[in-house]
Amino acid sequence: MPQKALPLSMAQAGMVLAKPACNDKGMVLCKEGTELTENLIERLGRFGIDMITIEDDHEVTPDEIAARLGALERRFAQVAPESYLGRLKGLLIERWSNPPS
Amino acid sequence: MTQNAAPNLSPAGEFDATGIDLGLDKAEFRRRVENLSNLPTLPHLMDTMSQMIADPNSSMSDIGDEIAKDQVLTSKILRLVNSAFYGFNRPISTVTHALILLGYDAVKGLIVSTSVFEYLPEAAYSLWRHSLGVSQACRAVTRVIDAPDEEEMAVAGLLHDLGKVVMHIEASQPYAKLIEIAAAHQTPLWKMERALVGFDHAEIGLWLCEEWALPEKLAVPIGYHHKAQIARQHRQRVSIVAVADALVRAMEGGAEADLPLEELPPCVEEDVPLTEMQLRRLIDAIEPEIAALRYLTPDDMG
Repeated sequence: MPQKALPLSMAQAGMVLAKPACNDKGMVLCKEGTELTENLIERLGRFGIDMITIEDDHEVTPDEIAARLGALERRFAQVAPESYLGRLKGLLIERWSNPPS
Repeated sequence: MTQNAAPNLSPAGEFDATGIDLGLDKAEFRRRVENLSNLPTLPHLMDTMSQMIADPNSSMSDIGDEIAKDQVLTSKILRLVNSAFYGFNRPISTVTHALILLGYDAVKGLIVSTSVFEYLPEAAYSLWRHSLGVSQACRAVTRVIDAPDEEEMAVAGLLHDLGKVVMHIEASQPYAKLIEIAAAHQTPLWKMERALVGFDHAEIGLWLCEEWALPEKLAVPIGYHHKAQIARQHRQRVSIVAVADALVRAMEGGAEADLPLEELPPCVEEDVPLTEMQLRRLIDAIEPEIAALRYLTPDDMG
């Protein structure tokens, strides 16, 4: 399952932690796999958590992939494929063409 | 690429600015940027700090105490270094602690950053996101190639577009228009700045660093990030910032979404040679950071 980091302020009940939520000292407050509730979100806030990583179940559509790759092509229009940055472009195309599922 | 790119290009490929009106002439644009009238003067603390650093009788905690007298500035610095977006993974509770962990030069750069970005117009907010992204990317590149001074590199990344910040603050409408024109002509922004106002954001950044007495290891990467090949010193630092900037822009973290990337000069590849494996590691490290930055709100800026 793809993951996504987001600020606690954007967290919603029902989201599932993809990584443990740890405080400043590295103490685990909530294990990965935990489903968030309103109550839990509020408690994490009180313990000073500002970012969490959740499971991202958004299915990327073929149209979204095409739009993303099209914009990438435009950004790299002035870059030769075999150049230093061209190699970066190649890796991004590979990565974004096949989103993890 | 775009159809309207053709009419403004001379046979030599130079951009011809004839007939383009930003609503502000070149001289007035320059005057505004040089007067810095919309920015408060930098805290006189910068001078005090430089004097104290030069004074062998001042200890790090003396300097920390001096900075801590300015409570507003102190809380902003601590908020920034402890922010999840800044990438420092240990809590920093006092200015002296920050000085010990980050060093004088990095803290000086953070004072500039916290003093300048809060005046950025909300319409240009993407530049704050981009700057934080490049700061994180500088850390990642520095680590991957095992280069020194990660904290200073993070600050250089944070401030690399200092000149843009100031142009947004001092000439917000004309500068927004200039960016639109650059996007319409698919021309790198710094080149369009040169064509339309006679100087570019990197030069302004370098000039500001001199005005504010920032060390050369921060000033040179800021001043040469689009022209690494002519930097005479600190070239690896310049190249790290150039690569970090390109990585972030490639992965949808550009401040101006529609602008094309330029090839990097060969010296950048010499200074920051990356194997495919290292490049993959950088993408893995940077992409989630950029995604998380999309959630950053203007409240997180000050």
